[in-house]
Amino acid sequence: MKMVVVAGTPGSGKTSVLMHAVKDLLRAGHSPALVKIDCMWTEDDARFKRLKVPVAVGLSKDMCPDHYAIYNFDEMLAWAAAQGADIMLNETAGLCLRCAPYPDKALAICVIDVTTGPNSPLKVGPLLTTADAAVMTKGDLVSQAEREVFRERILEANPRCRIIEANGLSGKGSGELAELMASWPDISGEMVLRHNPPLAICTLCTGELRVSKEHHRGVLRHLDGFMEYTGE
Amino acid sequence: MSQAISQSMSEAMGPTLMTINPMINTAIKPLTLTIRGGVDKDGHPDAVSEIEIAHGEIIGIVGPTGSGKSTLIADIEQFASGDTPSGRRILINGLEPAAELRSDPRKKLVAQLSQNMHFLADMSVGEFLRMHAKSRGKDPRLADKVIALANTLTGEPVNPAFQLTILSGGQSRALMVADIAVISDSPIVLIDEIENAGIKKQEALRLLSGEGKIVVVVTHDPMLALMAPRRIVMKNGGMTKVISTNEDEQRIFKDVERVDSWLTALRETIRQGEVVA
Repeated sequence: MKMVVVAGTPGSGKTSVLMHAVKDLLRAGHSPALVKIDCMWTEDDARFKRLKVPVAVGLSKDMCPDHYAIYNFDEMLAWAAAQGADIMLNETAGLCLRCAPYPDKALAICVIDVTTGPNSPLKVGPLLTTADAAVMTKGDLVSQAEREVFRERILEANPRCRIIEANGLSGKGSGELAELMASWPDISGEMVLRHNPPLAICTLCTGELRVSKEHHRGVLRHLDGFMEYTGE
Repeated sequence: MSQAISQSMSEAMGPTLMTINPMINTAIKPLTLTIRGGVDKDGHPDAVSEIEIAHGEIIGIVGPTGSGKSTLIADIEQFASGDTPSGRRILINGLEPAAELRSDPRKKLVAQLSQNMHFLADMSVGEFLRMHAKSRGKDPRLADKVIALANTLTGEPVNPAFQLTILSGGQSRALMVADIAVISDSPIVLIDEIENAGIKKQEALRLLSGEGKIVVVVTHDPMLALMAPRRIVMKNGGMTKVISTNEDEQRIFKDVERVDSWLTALRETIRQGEVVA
């Protein structure tokens, strides 16, 4: 079984790019199965189902969606295997940029929207810096110069990543992406994350609603960058 | 001129190129660009099954809105290898280009002026151009040259300290043209509807086409279309035919040129707030 984790900010075109890549995988004789993780609600599964591939949805509700995905990877892989799949594609919810839900042996793909401007590759953090491939979307909306500057910025953030220029509308770049997925080694043995998730747990994580500092305990970071443990 | 042609011919015919790279072409110097036909929007094969464009040639792409002109330009830009919706293939010197020629800006053979009229990057003009020069493996000091050149194309001067996002349509296009002429100085140039740019179109085309470049220009403009010895006609996503311009068209071209320079002068008079006489 191969495993692919597709991350990226909301609206960056993860689903559209994946739809085209799934079609290419099917054409090449592969059997992909797809797990879409979202927080509260999604209808992306209906889009994927039109491709006649097995689709499952996980809603993380009160849990951080990336933590939820990481916690449930085993179950996703077992489900995909039961569907007879040879590639498990996991599309993440894409919210905060601090977690990078990439296991070391999976193919890690960060989808990034060119129209967000050339500073965004520097803002995205581990989601981009620990990815194997960066998929640049919406390149048709900017000039060639702007695409090339964006590309340079991605390489500044992650010099060893492969860059694929894709278009979720026309399907440009999906063939290259599908080839990369198909050529990735199978997963095996124990997997570990490439990057540590943020520190936990504070009282906010357990349901405290009051806002000011006096009500909170845990490993907490001040506005000036000072970090401390407050509590018993 | 004839010497240059015979020299490039001997390079093209010479045995070395073929023996070094029998299957994949990594040569940086394209002498011919070949478009192998694919399919139109309904899956019917292109009536033009293959067209070869030579070193130094300007070729037009014409057709109504939605006929597939920009798609054809996109196929060339990404060196399609049967992997785009049209199924077309692009060959350089008769061979499939190597993957790095498709993507690495330092080795890119194609410069493209698209229809985009504005920059979205929140950076200053100078910073952006220096970064772009770096991405193409060029000297960042070329930024000043780009700005000086852009200012010959637009009436509203561009300053390196300006934010890209506040530039007018004319300033943005002038900067894009100058950037292609100086930084993205590639042997194949793709131009999408330069007539809508609000800049001096002939001057821009002259700057972009440079010596020995292959220029592909999408246009509705009679003058630009007739400047190209050949033009590909698009319909419903497909390449339907190739027209070679003839003597009658070239006679009309002279009239069009006169009318165009007259209109340009009138436009300038009106722009300057004067009365047309």
